[in-house]
Amino acid sequence: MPKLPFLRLLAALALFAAPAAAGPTNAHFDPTKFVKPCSPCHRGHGAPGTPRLAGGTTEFCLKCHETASRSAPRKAALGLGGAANPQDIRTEFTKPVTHSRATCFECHSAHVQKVVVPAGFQAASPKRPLRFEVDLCLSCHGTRGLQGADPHDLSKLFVASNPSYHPILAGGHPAGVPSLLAPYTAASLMNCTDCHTNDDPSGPRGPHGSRVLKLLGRNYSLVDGQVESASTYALCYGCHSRDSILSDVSFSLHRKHVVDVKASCATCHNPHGATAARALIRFNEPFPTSGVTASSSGRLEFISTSPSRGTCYLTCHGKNHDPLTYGRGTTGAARPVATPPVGRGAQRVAAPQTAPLPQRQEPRKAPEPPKQ
Amino acid sequence: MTRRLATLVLAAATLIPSALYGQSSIRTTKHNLSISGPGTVRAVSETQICVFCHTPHNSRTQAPLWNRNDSGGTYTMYWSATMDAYVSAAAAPQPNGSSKLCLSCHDGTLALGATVASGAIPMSGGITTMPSGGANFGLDLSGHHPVSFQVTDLLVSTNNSRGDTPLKSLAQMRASPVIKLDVSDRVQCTSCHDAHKDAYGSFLRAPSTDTICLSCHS
Repeated sequence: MPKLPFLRLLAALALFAAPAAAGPTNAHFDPTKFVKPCSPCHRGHGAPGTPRLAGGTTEFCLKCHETASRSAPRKAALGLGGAANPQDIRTEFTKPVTHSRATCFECHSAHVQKVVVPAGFQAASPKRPLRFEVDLCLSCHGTRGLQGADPHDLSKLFVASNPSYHPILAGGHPAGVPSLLAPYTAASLMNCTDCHTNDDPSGPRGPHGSRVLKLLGRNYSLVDGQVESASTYALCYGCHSRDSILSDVSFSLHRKHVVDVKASCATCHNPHGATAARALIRFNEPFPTSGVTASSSGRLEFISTSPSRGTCYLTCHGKNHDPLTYGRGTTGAARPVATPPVGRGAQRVAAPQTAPLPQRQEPRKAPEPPKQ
Repeated sequence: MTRRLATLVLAAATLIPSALYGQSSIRTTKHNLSISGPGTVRAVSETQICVFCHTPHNSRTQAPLWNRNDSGGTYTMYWSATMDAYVSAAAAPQPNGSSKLCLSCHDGTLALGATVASGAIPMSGGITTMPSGGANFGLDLSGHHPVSFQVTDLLVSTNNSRGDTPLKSLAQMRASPVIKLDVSDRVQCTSCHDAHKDAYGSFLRAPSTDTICLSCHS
């Protein structure tokens, strides 16, 4: 492949050039907002353990990051320029669900350049030296699959050896996902903050606070008994066609469960991933699931080797499935085999700005911040 | 008499360049610790201004005509993941050069009036060491700009390979009309501060702290 280095070079150039030309850069470097480039935050002698800040706490950042700091006198007092329009994070932390147990500094490097990527590509970490947003999230919420016994290790749900997972760490599920809305494809990657983000689309993005449980950006009913509607499962329907799901394209009994029996998506699916079943089905996981119990024969299991057919052993909404089978053909005695999805790990790159990136074998190429 | 004459010579040597450049005299700054000083920290009766740091005879060798002992403290130094001059806070160089001189008062461990050649000079109000507050740093310098590390071309290029918070070149820092690296290209307290002049407040070398930052950072 003599042409590969050239293609890589092109890709690298696209990565370097794109953010400077396209997306907004870090407002902390905008001379119209920071007319005094350093002194609004830094002093020569600051609080211990900080890069010479007046304080090392979240409150230090919130001094600017609140609505009151948008007034002209306040901006002048803070040393900010007239164009400064600080994002109101303080309000986010007053919402019912917040990330306020983390400090700003645990997730943010104040000098990191913002890299904007379109949907379907992996976002850059707002904190150095981590490269991707998912690395940042999993630095607290997971152990990158190394600690398999820990039920709180989210990373093990995303690893590409699982039969199904939301494409956070790897894309390209071989069976495809019939309900996916454009522009998403089986090769798309997503970010934690595609789901876990501000529920107010006009507010600051990111998982600071939300009025929706699990710090979600759109409504998502976790409990059964809710009348199905576009808003009940707005989070899922943001990427998965409601029409496709309710017309039973993938699972022939979707409508029966979701509309007629009023089961939540979360009752059957673990949205992060499934270590032992396809289609994100949670029944085979080693830790308890959402109100679904074993069948009369004591089994709690979903067996399926392909879309559109499967077998359930469980008891739900008072109905014993021991088993119940859908789709054509056999009940599928064999457990699913974790076959590697195509292109796994090949998409861990930032978005191309001008032309599609070639498939890359090095999976962890970072979106480089622009040089100043 | 001899001592007074010597002090006058020393004072003149300090004051004449200041006068030439039209900048403020140390006499009107808080660093005038004599009884004539403008600050709250001053001597009970000592009238000599320079004696708190300098002596013409029996001086120590850390700095010209130096009249103080060094503090024996071990300091916690600043470090961050983006700091390339050393690999950890523990690996940071302890203060050296002129920074040691400043810390002999500003770490709060030695008496302000403790001179080498003239003994202990009593300070008014019963003050001995630096009163607590912004000027008393203690031994925890982890929130202070790092000092006493050497700037090299390699350090600059390593830092700048990160792409953000870049540094200016060593040549630009050396040539800066604002900040001063020491003779070994080390950052010291004296890089940003001039203990003898306080034209801009806090003995800074420029009217705006941003100007000082941007002399090395860009």
